[in-house]
Amino acid sequence: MIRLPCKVWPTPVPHPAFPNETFHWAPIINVRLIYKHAPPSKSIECWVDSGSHVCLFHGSLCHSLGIKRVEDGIKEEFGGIFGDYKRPVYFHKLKIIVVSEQFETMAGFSWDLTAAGILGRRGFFQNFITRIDSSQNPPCIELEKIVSH
Amino acid sequence: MPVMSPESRIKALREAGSGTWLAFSEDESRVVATGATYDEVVQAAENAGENEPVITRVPNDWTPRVF
Repeated sequence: MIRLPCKVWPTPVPHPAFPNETFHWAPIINVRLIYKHAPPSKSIECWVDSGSHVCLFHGSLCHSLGIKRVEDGIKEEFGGIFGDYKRPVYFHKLKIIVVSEQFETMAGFSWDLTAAGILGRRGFFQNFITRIDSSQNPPCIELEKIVSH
Repeated sequence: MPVMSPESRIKALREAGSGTWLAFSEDESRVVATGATYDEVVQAAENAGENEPVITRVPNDWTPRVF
């Protein structure tokens, strides 16, 4: 079992609904990325997001990973839950390292992502039973590696 | 446990430029560099003597987001 603390993330100030809060605890964990045989990336803060069906990363990461052009990947259009316009995402196969575990997945890259990365169901949740325990202070994320037989 | 207090981390994130990349030290106790791109912030962190930074991206604003 891997147990990691959540990290704080700013809220608007003042938050209209929660005026006494200036931040919230977010399920953000550090991962490293490997593309083909290149050295791993630096540790990158990514949001654990069961609402995303794939893992997504910002296009700015591609160059140092060894991906020559983001747009050389397999293209898919992505929209948000509020019905705003669609953005292109380009898929590349890579390995994601979470603490001492790693897995391979097709992950999307986008120049429009507001975060460095998002860990979604394909790849991340396929490999880890994930639990967010908000009763703790700070809240924590518990990851249990799924062992395939 | 995070080694940077929540208040210090929030202050660092808010003070970083919108849409920039921010590098924390390996133990996440302090900010070591900022940059306009991932490559730039990694180079700046290494120039500052931090070879194993933890990198995050600062959004353009603090609007709550649903991914």
